[in-house]
Amino acid sequence: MLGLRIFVYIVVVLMLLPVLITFPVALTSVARISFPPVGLSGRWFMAIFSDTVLLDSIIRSFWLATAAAIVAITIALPCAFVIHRSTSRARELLETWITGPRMIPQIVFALALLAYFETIGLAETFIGLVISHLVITIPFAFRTLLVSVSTMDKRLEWSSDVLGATPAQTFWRVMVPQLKTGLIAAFIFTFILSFNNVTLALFLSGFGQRTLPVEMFQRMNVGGMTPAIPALSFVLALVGVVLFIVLDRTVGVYRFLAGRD
Amino acid sequence: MRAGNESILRFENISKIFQGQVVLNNLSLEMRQGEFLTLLGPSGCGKTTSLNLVAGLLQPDSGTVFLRGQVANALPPRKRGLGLVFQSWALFPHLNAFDNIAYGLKIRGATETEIRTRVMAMLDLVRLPGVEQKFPSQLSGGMQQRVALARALVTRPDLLLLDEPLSNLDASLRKEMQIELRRIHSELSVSTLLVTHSQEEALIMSDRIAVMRRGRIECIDTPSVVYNRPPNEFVCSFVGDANIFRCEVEQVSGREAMLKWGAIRFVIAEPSGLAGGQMLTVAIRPENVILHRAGTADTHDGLVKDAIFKGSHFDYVISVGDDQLHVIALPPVDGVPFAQGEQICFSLPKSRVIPLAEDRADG
Amino acid sequence: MADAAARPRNPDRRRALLSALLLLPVCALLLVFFLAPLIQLVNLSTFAQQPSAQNLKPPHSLANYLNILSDPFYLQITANALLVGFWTTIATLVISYPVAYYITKISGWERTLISVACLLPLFVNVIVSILGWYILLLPYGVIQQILSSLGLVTGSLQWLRTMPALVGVLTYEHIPFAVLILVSSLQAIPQDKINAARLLGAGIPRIFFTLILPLTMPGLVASAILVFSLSASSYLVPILIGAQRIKVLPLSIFSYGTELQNWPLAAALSIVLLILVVAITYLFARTMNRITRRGEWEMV
Repeated sequence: MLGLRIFVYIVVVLMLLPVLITFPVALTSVARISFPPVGLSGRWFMAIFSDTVLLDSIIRSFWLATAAAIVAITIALPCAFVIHRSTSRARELLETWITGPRMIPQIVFALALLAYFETIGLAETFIGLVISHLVITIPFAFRTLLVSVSTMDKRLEWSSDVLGATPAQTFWRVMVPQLKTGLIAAFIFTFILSFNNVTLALFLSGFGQRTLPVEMFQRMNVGGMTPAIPALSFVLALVGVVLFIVLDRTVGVYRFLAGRD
Repeated sequence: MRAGNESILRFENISKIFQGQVVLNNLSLEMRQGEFLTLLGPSGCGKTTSLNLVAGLLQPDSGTVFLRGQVANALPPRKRGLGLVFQSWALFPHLNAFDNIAYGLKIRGATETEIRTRVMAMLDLVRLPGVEQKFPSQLSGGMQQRVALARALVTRPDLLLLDEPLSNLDASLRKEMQIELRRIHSELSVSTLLVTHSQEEALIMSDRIAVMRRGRIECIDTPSVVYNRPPNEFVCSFVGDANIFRCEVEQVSGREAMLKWGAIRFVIAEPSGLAGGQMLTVAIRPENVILHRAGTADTHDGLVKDAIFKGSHFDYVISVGDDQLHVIALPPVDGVPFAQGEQICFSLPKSRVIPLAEDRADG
Repeated sequence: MADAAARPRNPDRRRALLSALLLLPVCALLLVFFLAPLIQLVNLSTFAQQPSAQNLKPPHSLANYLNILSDPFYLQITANALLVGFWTTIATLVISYPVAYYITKISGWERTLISVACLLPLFVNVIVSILGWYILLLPYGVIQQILSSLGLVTGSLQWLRTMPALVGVLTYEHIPFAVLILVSSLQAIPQDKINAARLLGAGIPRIFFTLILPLTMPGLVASAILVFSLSASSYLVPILIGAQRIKVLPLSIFSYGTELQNWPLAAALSIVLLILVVAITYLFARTMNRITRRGEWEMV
């Protein structure tokens, strides 16, 4: 057991390393990436706020992710209900159909959409991007919500029924509260999936309309890299970690993400 | 027992099939207003299905459900004016006790003051003052039970449905709640339909018991009749303990018949429809067999095979030839209990021997 | 009372209608924006030239596919992609399995800490992770400095642009996926079975091979399939870490799809990638299925 422990902690260190390293690198006072950092300065963290292109992309990513998450949950929830209450044969079919997009390599799908959007005029539009994110996040939102729907107690609905509530009242007063944690989890996971998505955004966003990951990618690949990027990376990672910890302590990450398999 | 004459519930030729299995088989029954009727039977007999049909959570495949004399088949649950308590109580976990109970009233758009008054009155009725703010997870099983009851009753339904409400409680709580349910029933004069597999519960609480088996009602009558005059072998052994054995009718004369069981001959009263030579299944409850040290003309010989002290009484197993009799008895008047291996005598009082109909073949 | 008997039918039909309605948005979305584009992609791959404003519907031909299948360059990059996928899968599973096992044995803050670390790549941007490794693996980068000071290496080494670096970073990226699946798989093993085996005197290796491994096999297969299909089709890491030195199929898809603007060829390459990945994972699942004779596994 001790050997296992050591192994696991080595893995933990290696997993944390890439993120941890961005912090000291971002603290450098010069305009290039180096370790150890040359001098210590917080200027690059400040620089994030003066980099309008970067800020633009952050805001764009934010709205994109919010839109995608809200729509994904809204249309995946009814599916979770229907599938939970249907027979096993229909279930399998429907589940495979809805989670189908996960089987396709994202680059293949991105290319397909690129060509497709060109023909229907959605190329390089925000809506097109939202739709593309919907397709890949819905399987995931669906799975998470299915877990939640499966744990709903039908007797609560029946009690509400007998007590005189209409189906709509039962839905809002009894079912939604039961689903609350699942809805929140699905929202957060979907949001993160969309926010961090590179491939679809790379192929489908217009020039000058970049999302954050795309912006970061271009700076790494093409040019324009400054320590502001590691600074931003670190901040993003921090936010992600905090979100994760909050989720895990409240909702239990494995319970929901395990619906992923 | 102040049952009125109006019918609150009626099943007319109700059948229900689940996945090829006949769960309810052409069932008919009638419940009068104000009575406490129990559907009693083993699991799978269709009692919970019947309850769900009354509530409107299920639809019958054929037959009609009447509520208050009106056809109710197509009526959705929320329009039936019922109260329902599940075995698991099904309290809304995100609402505290007060809001749980107030739920039905809020749906009906009652005012704040009216809600407050009625909910508090209900909490008084179920003897749970002071728990309004608590959430179901903070309440014990017994308390959740009472809150569930309060929730069902606050809307003043005229028919209360209880689905094995006491199964999740421990023995002492169960006894307490049996009395409570009975008290609430009479205080509110609410017709109550209880579903249970516990014959003890049925006997204690009901005005009438309907014993069910495989989707059919075997008999429906007062506890006393069901216990003392069960119609067939199933009911006899399901409700209470019984010694059941087959006898040959030797002769019938007037209001008595002579039966032969092994080497024993005994007499049974009111043998309507019996003829000499036929076989008859009879039963006698363990507490009705009388044991004696000394024999008389009416007694038979037996050997005490086993004597188990049970505190308030003794459980005896008496060997009678190749058969056995289970007997429950207080220690004899002289204070010395019968011992294992002792030769004793027993008698079968003719008024206590129950003739049983042949068990029907499965329908 | 034929009336009463007829009425129960309606709720069933109404329910079916309602179900169909609730499923409609998702199904419509998938039909229009998932299935249709893919079908069009296949169509696109049969064009001999890039469609343009002047030539909206170029003639159909299988030229692209013939090109791909005969050109050793394309065969090489395909093999590279599959190889990358293979090694990444192995490395990921070897690391993730013990870690997942450990996670199931602990609780509280330690569990949260380890989970955060292992699932980090999921929550944190891909680019961020790659950037981190880029910095770490630079010549004279952090790791080399440490090793240098320990006297294990001398001079500057080019670690980026190598296969091990590529596989390493890809493994990093995909550990979360494997850990998630394996944790749920391991947690599903009833503890009393293990206790029973212990009581019967089985030692740890025995328990592992006869009990734990077979029971978690579905999880292992599912992880393998997922990691393989994700890493074989990865292009970001090959671009940023591999600097396109190691040429993999997805890279070409990326080039032809964006810079070089030869969509039909990119489409054909995509279809080839898709078919290969699906075929390999399907065959793998089937074979494992037969070997351990278990029921259906999810392929996803």
